[in-house]
Amino acid sequence: MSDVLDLPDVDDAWAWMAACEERGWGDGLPTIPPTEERVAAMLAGAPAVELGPLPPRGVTPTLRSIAANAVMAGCRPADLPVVLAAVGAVQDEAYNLHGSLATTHPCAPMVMVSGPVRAALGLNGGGNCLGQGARANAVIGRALSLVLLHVGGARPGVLDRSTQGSPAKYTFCFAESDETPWDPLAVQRGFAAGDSVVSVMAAEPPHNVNDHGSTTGAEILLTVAGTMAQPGSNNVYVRGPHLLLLGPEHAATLARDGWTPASIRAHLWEHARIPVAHVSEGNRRQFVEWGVEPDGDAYTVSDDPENLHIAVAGGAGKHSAWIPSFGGTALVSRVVP
Amino acid sequence: MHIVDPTSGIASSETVAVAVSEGSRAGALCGLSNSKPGAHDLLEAVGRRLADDHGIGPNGLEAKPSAAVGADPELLDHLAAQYRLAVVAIGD
Amino acid sequence: MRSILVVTSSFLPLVQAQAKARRAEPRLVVVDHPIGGLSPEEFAGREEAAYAGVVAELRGMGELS
Repeated sequence: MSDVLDLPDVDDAWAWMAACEERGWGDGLPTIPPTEERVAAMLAGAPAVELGPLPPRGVTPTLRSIAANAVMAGCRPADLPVVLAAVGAVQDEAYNLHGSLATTHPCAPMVMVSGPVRAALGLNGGGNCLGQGARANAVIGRALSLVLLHVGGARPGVLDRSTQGSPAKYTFCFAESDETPWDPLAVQRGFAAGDSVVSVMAAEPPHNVNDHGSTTGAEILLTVAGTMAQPGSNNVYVRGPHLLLLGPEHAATLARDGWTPASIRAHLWEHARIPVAHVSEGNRRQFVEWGVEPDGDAYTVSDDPENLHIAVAGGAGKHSAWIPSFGGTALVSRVVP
Repeated sequence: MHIVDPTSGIASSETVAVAVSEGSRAGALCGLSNSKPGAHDLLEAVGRRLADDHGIGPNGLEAKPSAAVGADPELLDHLAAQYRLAVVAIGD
Repeated sequence: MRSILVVTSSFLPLVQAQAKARRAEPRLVVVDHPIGGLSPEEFAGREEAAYAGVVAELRGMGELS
């Protein structure tokens, strides 16, 4: 069956936008029409990849349909391999794509990019890397979201049942910073320094960690632990992964004082605790049914210190971010083909 | 304007098989909840009333490990082997 | 194994879309949303609706006379 549609009355940007709205396509922002010519250009030199069915709809995307969504998102052909790697990564069973798309939780498909492809595409891992402004960040994350919406069928209000959603559902893509005093996260996870890697996780938007006053690593970690110790997070009871994205200045202070990702992880496991008194009685009862008990007089954040991943991104300033997850997901990393 | 359909792909050939009841099993009816508190309470009440009013039993009640993940296939196989009927609740 | 699916009205579109994707035709009992966080009185109404729906389905299946 042909995948080409004839839209006879669509002859300008406004008509295209109306046509998308009518069909339930797009994220509400303008898109670029995926004409056959643009899709062909997107696919020139595209790597061969193997893809499976995308829940909730259960349809397997083709390279052409992914390219069509990449065009709609504003991608350049050079961005497509990263989009393909991200689509492949969210299909890993551990990522739990179906659960993450159909849930009432506001999680979005977070994409962190490591390695040389960042510079080649202009991916931002510096100032405002989690915000607007860098085309590659914006369009790669958006292309993944559009693939999940159009091919996966995760339409808000129908198969995407998020209670409130989040701005991250439009696009949530950033690069690791080169200004890390430690191994980049991809290297921590066993990839070579020369590999270009995407790491995906069904994640909440970033929770800011503002600490201008602390002058030591231990003090900064006190603020980080306090930010992580919140009773409304999925990580408290579903457990699963979470990401500490340190700003380079906080990371530099920590490294100066001898902290490493391993010692930070161990310290936060002990100190990022949610006092039992901060959890309602009804929730405590429910946690017991889900097999979650406090450790003494406080709950841990997640069930294993290794579930906390640590990376560096951002620009000048005394801010970091904690990125909790859906819980029933994993941080999945894939080499960019 | 001719465009490539962004929703296009290869449709799944997956179908859901309906297992036919094979003779008697130990249990009559099991509840399976999505693990949300409301779903669990609802199934518990429905099971109790079916037993009280209609003598349907013995009944069981199970749940997914959490709402965020799918049911363990081994649990589904176990329930299918033990019970004739299932009431599944998806609530929030 | 024969089954009945109790779903709250808000999640009905998700269930219907999933059923369509899997070419399944579940027996559905739809109750008002939500069923969590209710007072005992509010929950009793949901319970009544779910129970009546399940009994009707069981009658339709020939499990109850």
